[in-house]
Amino acid sequence: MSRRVRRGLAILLGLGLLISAGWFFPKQVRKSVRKSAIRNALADRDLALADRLLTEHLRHDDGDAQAHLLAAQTARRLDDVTSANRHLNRYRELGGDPEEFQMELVLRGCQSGNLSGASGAMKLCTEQPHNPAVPFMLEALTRGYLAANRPATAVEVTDVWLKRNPATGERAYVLYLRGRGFELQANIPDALTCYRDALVIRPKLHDCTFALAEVLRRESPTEALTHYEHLREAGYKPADVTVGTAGCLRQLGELDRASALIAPVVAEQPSNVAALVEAAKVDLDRLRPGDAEPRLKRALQLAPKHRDANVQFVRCLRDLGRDTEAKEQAEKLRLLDAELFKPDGKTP
Amino acid sequence: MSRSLLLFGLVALALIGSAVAVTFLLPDRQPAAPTKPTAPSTDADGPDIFENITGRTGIDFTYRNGDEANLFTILESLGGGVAAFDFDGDGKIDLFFTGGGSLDGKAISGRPGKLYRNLGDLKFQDVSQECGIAGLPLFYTHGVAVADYDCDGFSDLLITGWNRVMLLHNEPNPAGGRRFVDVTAKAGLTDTRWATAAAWGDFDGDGFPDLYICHYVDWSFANDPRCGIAERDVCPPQKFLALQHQIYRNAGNGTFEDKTAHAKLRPDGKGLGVVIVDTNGDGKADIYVANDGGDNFLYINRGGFAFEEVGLHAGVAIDDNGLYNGSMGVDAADYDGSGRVALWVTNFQGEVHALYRNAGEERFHHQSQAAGIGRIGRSFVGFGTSFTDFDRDGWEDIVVANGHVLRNPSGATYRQRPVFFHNEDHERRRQFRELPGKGGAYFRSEQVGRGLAVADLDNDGWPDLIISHQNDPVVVLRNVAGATLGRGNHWLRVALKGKRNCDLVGATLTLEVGGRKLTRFVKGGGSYLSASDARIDFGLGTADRVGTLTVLWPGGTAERFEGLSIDCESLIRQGEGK
Repeated sequence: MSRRVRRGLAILLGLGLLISAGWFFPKQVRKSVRKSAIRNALADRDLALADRLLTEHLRHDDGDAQAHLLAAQTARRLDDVTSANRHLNRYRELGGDPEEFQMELVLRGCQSGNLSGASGAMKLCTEQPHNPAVPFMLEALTRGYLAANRPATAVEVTDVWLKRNPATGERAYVLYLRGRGFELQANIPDALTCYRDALVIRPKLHDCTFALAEVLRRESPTEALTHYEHLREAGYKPADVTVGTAGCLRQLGELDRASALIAPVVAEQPSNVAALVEAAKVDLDRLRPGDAEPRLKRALQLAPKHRDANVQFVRCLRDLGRDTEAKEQAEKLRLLDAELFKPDGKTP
Repeated sequence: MSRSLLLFGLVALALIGSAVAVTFLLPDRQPAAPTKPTAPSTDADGPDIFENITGRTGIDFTYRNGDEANLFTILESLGGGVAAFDFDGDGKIDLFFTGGGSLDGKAISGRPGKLYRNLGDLKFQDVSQECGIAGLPLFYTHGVAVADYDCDGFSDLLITGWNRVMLLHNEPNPAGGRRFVDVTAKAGLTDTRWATAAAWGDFDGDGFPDLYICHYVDWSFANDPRCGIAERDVCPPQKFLALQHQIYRNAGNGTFEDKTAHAKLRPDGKGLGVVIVDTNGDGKADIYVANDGGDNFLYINRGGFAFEEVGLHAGVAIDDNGLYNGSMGVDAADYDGSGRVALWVTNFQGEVHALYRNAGEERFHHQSQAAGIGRIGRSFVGFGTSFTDFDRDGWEDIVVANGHVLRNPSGATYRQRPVFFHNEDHERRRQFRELPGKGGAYFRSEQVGRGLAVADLDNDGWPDLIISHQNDPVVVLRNVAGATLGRGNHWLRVALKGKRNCDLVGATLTLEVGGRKLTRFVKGGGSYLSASDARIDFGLGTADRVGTLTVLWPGGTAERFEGLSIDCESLIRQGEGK
């Protein structure tokens, strides 16, 4: 047997061994690798990846109660209520810890703005800072305070969260939520700083890019356009991105382009209030109040308290020369503003 | 061999394991999204439009606001103005600057302003001493308004400031030349509240210019809250109550009658800018007021000193978001060839400067976005401003002096670059496109701009700029567009003379040229705390002849004037047309 043949046989043997080893790789080791990957994904707050890995893991091991709890938490954080329910119920069926089950229900409430259990969760976060559940709680609390329109408290929670020196991905997300808190307080400069810092850490945090673009749409439409373009390329919320892009173009005086962009969205989604209002604004800027009127009427049917729709409808009626109706609509707007009026005297 | 095989297998396993891990477990590497603000477009390469000639004019003046006392008062945020007017009747535009003041403990002191006589060839001489300006009583000053209030053929000055105004009558100097004499008390202009912008215009048609004075807020050292979040800064106007503006009727005998109550002025404006112009073509001068942190006012002159405030109804009180703005500077012009006067307002950070297109019948459309104003973003705090056709292409451009009021603003800078908007055609309508840096070196620098006046200082037909700053020297910018952006364009200038030197604010001029009708308006006030060259300019583009000039005089009578020459100034006297 020549040397060359012997070498060939050795390679074949090696490959065979490799395939066999891969085929018969111990189940426990693979499970361990998966769990490690899940941990890493969660630590980095790559929830989409974590969700994928958990689904894969549970396909092989549906009896892993702890994995179902993780999956329920992850689904909740991704706002996937159906999946969260399914996994949480399975966790209970598998005899999961009732306290953990209860805590998850509390966090779910917190996250959606029901803050009845928030003080307890916050207490746990400060008293047991090393509890592994603390980041989940801080996230639910921050989001809850934002949902409950208590942005100042949300920012305070992010102070606590940031002091824990969260991992890169998580840190980006905290900064994003913090930016939302500042934005809701009309502190645009600090909001922009947070959004920009978050995107330096995690450039593809699309929710953050979108939030940044939405703020810049008013402040700096030229820059906002570049962010919307990135989002469009990423396939992120196509209708919302189109509405935002049209808004930028309108602010830049590119009314023809804005109109061409927004019209198909309104045609395809006649109940998209944001699209209807943006299209109406383009109409009004093009001095076509007759085109704007039906869009604004539709928007107000769908969302009677939408401030911008109400504002534009006053403008539209006035531009149409229907003064009496414009005055009535202005009075409605005045009452709406009074409802929204903030105690610090700033007009919303 | 078996050991080699085992080793080989283990290495292969490790490699494959790593590959699997890399492929499936690590998140994708992603390119960085842009996070820095986009630089302004620089699509306007080419020579400059303005040349900074301050150093060779002989003008060396700085408005002082007293901020070195570190008291962070709202008083120091306003700044001062510029008046460009021919005080001695020699046909050359002279300059007056308000001086501001200083703060020491709770004492507010004034600094003298200066008057510079235009010697020609863009040289100026400080004549404050010989013209009586230097010896005037001092008070902390802001604005200046120009009119010949007694119709004697010479322009007088009204200076505004902290808790008083001062009326200066322009009269012959026994030593030769002219001098200014304080006639405030004699005129009855003795109000002692904080006065900012003022404008003259004949509201009742008697030929004598009447007076509108903006008052600001009820700040004083006795009402001086501490503001600022991390560190102390200037308070916003929302911390104070508005002061009632005033309107005075010129009795024609050197005295003024307070007609505020009769005119039913609104009590809630924190006024910083005012322009008087005929907005509805009825031959009567209307008043548009820019308020800081409240609705802007449009008073339509209904005759007999009766005014109707129609700002909200007309669509010029608030912006397109239904919100009032922090408004400072103001001007009015026909920017789109409609023949109607549009209104323009410079606003605070976070807002877009407002362009209200006149739709006729006392209606306006907020057209800032459609006109491309939004391109500059919302980080500017705009003050002095002017609609002027700087390149003589027949379309009114816009210039804005910017600079923050907060020493440590968030999301913006204290010093800001001025903005020059060129009026261009886009999508079949007029748009304003910033020519970044194209204004010249000054427009590439950051300043704390306040007052701004436009005047052709060398009578070359190309309007120049004079800008006042907070605690930095004033600048004089010579318009060199005749050799650059406006090369080959022509112009026509009209100096109007009313019967018996009567005031002509509210007049409308329409010139037929090259199939177009160019409409210009005689205005009172405008810009911010400043007064510009009162002569009326028409940029003609490349047209080398003009048709009829129609003047609609205040009161509603019209006259036509033919045979006007281009590239020169013509004197048009009321009653000498057809």
